[in-house]
Amino acid sequence: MENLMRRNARKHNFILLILMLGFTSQALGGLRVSLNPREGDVGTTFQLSIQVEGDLNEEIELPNMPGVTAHGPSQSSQISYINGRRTSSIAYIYSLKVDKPGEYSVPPIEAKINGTIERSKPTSFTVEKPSDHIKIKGSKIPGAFVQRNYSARKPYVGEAVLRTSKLFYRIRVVEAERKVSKADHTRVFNDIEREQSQEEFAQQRFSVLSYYDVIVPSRPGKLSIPSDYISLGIQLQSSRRSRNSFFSEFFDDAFSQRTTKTLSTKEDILEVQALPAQGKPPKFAGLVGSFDVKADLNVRNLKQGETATLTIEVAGRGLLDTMGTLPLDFASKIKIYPDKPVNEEKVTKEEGVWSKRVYKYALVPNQAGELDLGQFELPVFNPSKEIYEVLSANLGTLTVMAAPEESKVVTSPSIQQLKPGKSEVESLAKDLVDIHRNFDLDKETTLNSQNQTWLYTIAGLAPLLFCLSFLFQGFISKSSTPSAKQRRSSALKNFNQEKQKWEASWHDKSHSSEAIEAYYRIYKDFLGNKFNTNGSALTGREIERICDSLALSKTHKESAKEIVKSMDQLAFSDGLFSSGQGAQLISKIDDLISEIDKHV
Amino acid sequence: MYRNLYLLLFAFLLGIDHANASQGQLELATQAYDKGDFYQSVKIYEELIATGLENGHLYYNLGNAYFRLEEPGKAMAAYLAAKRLLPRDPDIKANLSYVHSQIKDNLDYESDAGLLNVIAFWQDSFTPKEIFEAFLVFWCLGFLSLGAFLWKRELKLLKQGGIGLLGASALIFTAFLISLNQDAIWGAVSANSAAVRSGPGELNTQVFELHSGAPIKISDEENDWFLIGLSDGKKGWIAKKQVSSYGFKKNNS
Repeated sequence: MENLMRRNARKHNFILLILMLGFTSQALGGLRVSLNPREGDVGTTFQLSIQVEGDLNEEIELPNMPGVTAHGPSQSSQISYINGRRTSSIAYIYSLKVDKPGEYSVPPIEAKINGTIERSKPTSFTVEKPSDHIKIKGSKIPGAFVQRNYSARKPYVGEAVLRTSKLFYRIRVVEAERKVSKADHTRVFNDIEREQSQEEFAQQRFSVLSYYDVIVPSRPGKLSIPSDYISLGIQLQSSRRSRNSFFSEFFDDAFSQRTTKTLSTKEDILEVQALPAQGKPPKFAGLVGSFDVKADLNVRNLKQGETATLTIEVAGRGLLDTMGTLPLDFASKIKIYPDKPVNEEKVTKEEGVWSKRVYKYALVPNQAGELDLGQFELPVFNPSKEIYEVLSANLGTLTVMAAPEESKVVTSPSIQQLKPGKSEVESLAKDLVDIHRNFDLDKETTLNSQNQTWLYTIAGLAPLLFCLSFLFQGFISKSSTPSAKQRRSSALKNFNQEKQKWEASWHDKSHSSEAIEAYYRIYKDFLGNKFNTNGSALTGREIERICDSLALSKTHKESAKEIVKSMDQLAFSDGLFSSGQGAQLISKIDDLISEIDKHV
Repeated sequence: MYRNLYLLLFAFLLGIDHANASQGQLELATQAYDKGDFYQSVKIYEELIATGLENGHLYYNLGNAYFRLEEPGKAMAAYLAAKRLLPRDPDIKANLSYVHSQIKDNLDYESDAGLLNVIAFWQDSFTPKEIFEAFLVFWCLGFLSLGAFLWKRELKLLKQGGIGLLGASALIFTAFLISLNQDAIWGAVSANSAAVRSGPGELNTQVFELHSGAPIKISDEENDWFLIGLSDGKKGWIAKKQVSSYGFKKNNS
């Protein structure tokens, strides 16, 4: 009994522990990832559901899944309060699709929930190669399959081939979508509506969905036609389905499951034949098909200078949009003004491509009389008969009466409109310009972080270099132009040195010239080229002109003259020049240069 | 010190390897396209774009592949993205015009000519990068000219030219900022038909209907809806899943 009680107590403790753990995990938050379905084929949408319980601190980022395209997410959230405790749950649902069969994995997904990082377990799914049929358990006859047929397996270049893709099904298909790739060197016309019918196959009744399109090959050789993909939405019956037929009417959908499946046809090869060289008419321009030609002239009798309208109509099975102008020639008897041809195309499963092209010409006869317009001829290749044919239409005759001289001038407004001139280039709008093949993928054409850094650096460097240049230039000019104080001290030093030399050698008259030269150097040290002396004497007028150009005051003009005069005296006389006089002269020169510096 | 150098070298080699891999992928896409496997080529182009590559030729090729798959809406969106990056490429213009001629709705992929559009004509002809490069040329020449003036002060033309060039560069920089801060981006309707509503949600009134390939200007987004404008001035909200566009980022962030 005691044992039983102890066992029961242990059991209760264990249940309590489980419950506590449950509450703890709810309080801490959780991350659950599920994938549905786990198996499918190319075209199947796999739903990846990420359930977050708790407060999500950062957005969830899907990990990199090579080969998988993810769309979404759509999300739903739920907040509930249980015993005053708030719990929130958000579900993020992504749709995953793949293009190739294989085994795909969803790596662990991380999410920061309630401040802690939660990580899911990795999961995977299998994608099978699309088949051309869907099997039904226990039956040799498939539930659905696809077939593709062509009206000609060895067509000629330019021949319209009707392609029929049929989906046979006896399972419950609720949706079907066909995806088809265009083969190179072909033109495809797919304006034909799909058709639904019933057909018997292997003694079984099948619903049939037929897709039609018309292919026109443009080059001879083997033409590879890519597979068609038909994506199906299928309603599967569940084993839990009610057996009661009355209720099944209402609950069918509730007890069935919807899935998607893709069927694909095999790749086909058509052998496109070149048009035979034998029997090719000389004016053959590449028209392939089975056509008729009609010609009509609106008037047969008219006056010279009046207009008749000639209509030529080419119609039949095949393409006519490559047809250029018609080879009409009436010598110089009639002037021809062509109108823009009108093209009409119809695509039907009975005839493939049916085309009509109508040409209109305004004919203005130049001469009077009975004009024979002759025969209009158009060579074509008929692929059903495998021969070249020359279609012809008799244009008949035109009776033109002579008109008075003044009315010979063409005045008809319709003719004026038809005057040949520069016409707009009509786009045939039949195909794209080919893809770009030789380009550097890394040479991006937009501002990205890499080139942005470079460009911004260059933009910043320009003013920086300018500022440096400004500072450097200031430094150079400062160091190259000594201050007044420096000038004064160096000049006084030079003056005293030169004076001592000069006084010491005064007894020798030959040295006086050297002394004068020394004074000139001092003089130039101060004045530099400001007076443009270059050692030569200046006249009073020249000094005045220089001072005027520098906008010096009258006092300074006088001072400049006095300085030059003193220097001239010094240069051209042998009189003694005391240190005091020299210093005075230098001081005057210094004042003058300061004034000049202010103005220059 | 050496460790850092090795790391730098490693990062550099990784960069080269990545570039080679991308170029290899591009080759594969071209081969798939030539074989007629347009699904595969679209897949590779989309993968390359998803890596963050912004290349006009890539978008152009993607447009061709989508068109071959008979998805004019997606093709249109890819061409419009290509046009944004290579605004003067004649092939892009030709194919865009061709796809445009195939769509049902009579809508243009450029806004109606208003005064602002006349003034900002350059926006459709130049990329922000090109505008910035033009600014850079004017900016550098301006400073070069002023710098030369510092040394040759007697050449007053250098000073005037420098100021003029800097003034022009300021205008171009303003243009650059405008082009950079444009939120709206052109895309196209990818669904066969799409209802455009008065607000972001299925319950709002349908104001008009668009068809596959219709060019739309996306200017805002809210949950699963885009606020769009048409070339004729109409506006409305369209479900994101019915639209194909490249490069739309709210507030241009």
